[in-house]
Amino acid sequence: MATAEHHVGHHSVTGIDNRKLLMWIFLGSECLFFGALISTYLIFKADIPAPPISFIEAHTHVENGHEVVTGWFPVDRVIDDVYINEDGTFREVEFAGVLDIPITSQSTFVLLMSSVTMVLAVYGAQHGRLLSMKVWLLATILLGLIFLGYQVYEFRLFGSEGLTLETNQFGASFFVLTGFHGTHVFVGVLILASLLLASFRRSGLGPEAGFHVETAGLYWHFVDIVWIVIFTIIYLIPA
Amino acid sequence: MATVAGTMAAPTAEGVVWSWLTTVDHKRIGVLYGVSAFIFFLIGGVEALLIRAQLAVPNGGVIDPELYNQLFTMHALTMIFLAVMPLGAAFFNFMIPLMIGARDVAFPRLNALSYWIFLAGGLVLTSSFFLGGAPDTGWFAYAPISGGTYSGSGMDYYVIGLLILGLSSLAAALNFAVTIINMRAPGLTMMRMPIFVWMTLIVAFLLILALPVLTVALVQLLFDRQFTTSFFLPSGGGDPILWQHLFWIFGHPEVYILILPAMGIVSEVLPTFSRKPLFGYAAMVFAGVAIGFLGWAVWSHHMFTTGLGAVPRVVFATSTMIIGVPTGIKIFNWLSTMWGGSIRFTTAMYFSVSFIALFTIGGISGVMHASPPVDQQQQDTYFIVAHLHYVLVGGAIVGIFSGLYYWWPKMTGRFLSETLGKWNFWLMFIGLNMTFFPMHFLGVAGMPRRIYTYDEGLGWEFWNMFASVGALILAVGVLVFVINVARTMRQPKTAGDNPWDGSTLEWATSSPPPEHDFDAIPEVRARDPLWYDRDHGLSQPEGDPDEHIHMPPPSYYPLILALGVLMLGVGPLSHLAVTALGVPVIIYAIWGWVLEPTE
Amino acid sequence: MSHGGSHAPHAQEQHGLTPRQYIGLGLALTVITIVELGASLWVDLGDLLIPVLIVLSAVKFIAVVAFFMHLYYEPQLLTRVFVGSFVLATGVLIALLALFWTDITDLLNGV
Repeated sequence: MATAEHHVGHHSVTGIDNRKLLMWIFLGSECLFFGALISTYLIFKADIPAPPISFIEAHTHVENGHEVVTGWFPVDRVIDDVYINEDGTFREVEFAGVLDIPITSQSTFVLLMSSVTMVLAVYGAQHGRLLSMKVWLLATILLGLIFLGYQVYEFRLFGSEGLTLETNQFGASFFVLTGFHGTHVFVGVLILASLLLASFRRSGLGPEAGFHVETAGLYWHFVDIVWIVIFTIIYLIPA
Repeated sequence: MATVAGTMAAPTAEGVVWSWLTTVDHKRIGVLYGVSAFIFFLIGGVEALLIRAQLAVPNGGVIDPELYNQLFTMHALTMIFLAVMPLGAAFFNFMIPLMIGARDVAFPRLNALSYWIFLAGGLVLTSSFFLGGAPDTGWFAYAPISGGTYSGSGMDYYVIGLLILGLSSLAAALNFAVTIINMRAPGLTMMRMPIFVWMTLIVAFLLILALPVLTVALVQLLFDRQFTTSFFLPSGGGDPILWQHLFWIFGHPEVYILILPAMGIVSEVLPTFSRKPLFGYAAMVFAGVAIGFLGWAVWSHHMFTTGLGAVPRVVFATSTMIIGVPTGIKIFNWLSTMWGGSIRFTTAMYFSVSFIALFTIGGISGVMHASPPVDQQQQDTYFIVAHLHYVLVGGAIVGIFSGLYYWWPKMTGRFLSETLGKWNFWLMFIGLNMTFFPMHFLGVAGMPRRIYTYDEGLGWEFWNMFASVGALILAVGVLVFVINVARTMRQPKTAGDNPWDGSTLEWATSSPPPEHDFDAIPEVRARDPLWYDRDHGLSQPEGDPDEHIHMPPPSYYPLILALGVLMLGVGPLSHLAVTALGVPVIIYAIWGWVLEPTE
Repeated sequence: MSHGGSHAPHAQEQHGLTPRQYIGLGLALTVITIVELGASLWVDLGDLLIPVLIVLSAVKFIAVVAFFMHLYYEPQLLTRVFVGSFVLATGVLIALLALFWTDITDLLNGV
């Protein structure tokens, strides 16, 4: 079944629709954008044990009846597993990662599934199955929102544990990198929601519905593959 | 098609002002770019003259030191981002669709958006002078001077202004990449494209790939200044060298973004006025691609004095020397193009020939810096100032003037005066050499770049005065150009379709071209298509001049969307409520844009 | 100029996988993610861990780009544009990291 997209729109020497070509070149640009952000993260990650970093993450050793203390401690007060209190007394600490990998694995799964629902929405749009397109678009939007919910939860959790933008280089580069990724997800949600809303008009998405959903899908999948990279680099590769 | 509910009625062509504000015609957008950029060029020139006035004599006191810092910073920013880049964009806009035989760019409204966002960014950056002081850290804004501790609100204008300008350049670059790849006339294969089109394509890809790196660096600087991070501040564990890396990863491709359009122009002018096809076309294309590619592998030569370590210094010194090879190929090809040709010495040709000489001087001093020990002597001295001005004034600006004289008849239907043109050329040529050549001597004699003033007896007095006089002569040369334009625009339109006997497709249509560019889409049978047609007794297809050719209608939305982007940017500089108000403007504009009928 | 046609061998027919295959691919990617988690958290692979993780996420990356984004079925030009940009981004990233590491080693060696 031939789709309408090849017969509408401008003259094209290469046979590729102008808008699709623009989207792919733009995604190439985005590679450099996230490449620079990830580089910053990795450069500072290599730096983190070095002296200029003034805080390291640790959880206090939990004993019976003792209060659980979690947070970032001045590095010059930590010797091996011992933290020197301001009054000169000692307390044992246990170093731990701030990252909650099981939680993030769930959100990774959610975003991966949103790619599947997205591609099903594209399939529906390209084959004239408009109800299927709308259902899968809605599913993709919801999965995107759930992912963003996880991210808000994670940011708030880190904040409550004392990791903020200014805590250290990990905090700064982590929040800026994942924050920009989250912004991209949010923009994707807006694009898909606009398409879904527009599809309820009497004219629907017009004769190029398959094309519009496909181009939006390219952006959405790209945001997903950026997360594949981020998940591996931040969460899976150990310090 | 009926107006879609919720969108504005399409603008009508009534009223000169509104027709320009809502235009999506690539030629009009080219004119808007050209006029705005030339005004910024004059502003940047005045900034330079003030700097030269301050440095003309030892212990000068023409301007105070704070303003001096702002002037040399804004001179660079204005010339790079608001003059040379958009003057290149003016030629891209006006000429590319004509040269590839298309009726417009791939995305006419996006094209208008690029221009309006550029204007917004230019206004943000320039307005800083009157709103608490301009940026004063030098155009590359090294940390930690660019941090909140050492610099004032000018740096916020720098960050926001460059972010806005980056958005404009990205939109334009995406548009031109798609246009060149997809909108070529039948028969115009990639290896038949004029070199100017090739250089534009390479510039577009350099912008697309380099700008995001600058964006990241600027955002991190913004966070350092506004949200207490320490990406570049050693006091908080950050690394100032990281800024330098990110900046120059963008900054070195940027150098080629500035010079490649001029190389493209020269590659059009020389064959036309030598009446000879360009020598070594394929080598020219591959040299351009090689420069674009190698431009990514040399950025750390800006940082030889930061303690890169031995291996990186060797690597970047080598790659920098290698990039001289494709540049040399271009120079020899230009010379060979003229060799044995029947040369006409028009003003455009004067500028192009002098481009070769002046660019070679700048190129050779550039290769000198490729050697780290030499660079360590020259870093941050006037030798660097001499080098970069030979490339950017002797190269980019001279190339752009060549293009102005060459394409003026096509753009307006009128010839610029050749007599005034020669005056313009000689004054600029003498002026720029007097200004910039002695800076080599000053640099070797130890005069630091960006210095506010200097004492007597250092041996710098004579050449500084000499350079300042040269700058005045250069300014008079530019003034002659303005007079030339003013006089020309009152002359009748006497230029025919192809007054210079050019070989490329823009000369196949009338001067100035009709709104739809070509009555019939041209056919390309070879490189230099019009010469091929002439030599083989062929002609381009004739269109019916009365046939209605549908062109995209004008639109309000690019202007509104650019206004929204401006509000988004002005928020952090004034009150965040402006940003909050900008968001609905942007959403409204995007919805209106998407729903607006374009057929 | 005909639309599509001879330039793009796959452009004319409806291309891509079937919905069933898309779901299958989604499940396969989930399995790979679980394997990654296992490699990272539950099994000690030592020095092999990072290469294994890079290969597994590269497989996921390529699968999404090739099939979910249809790049496998598109004209080669799009592949060249995207892969070229990605390789450039990766190259710049590796060069930057190498520069920062060299910085440290040179300092240690007193160069």
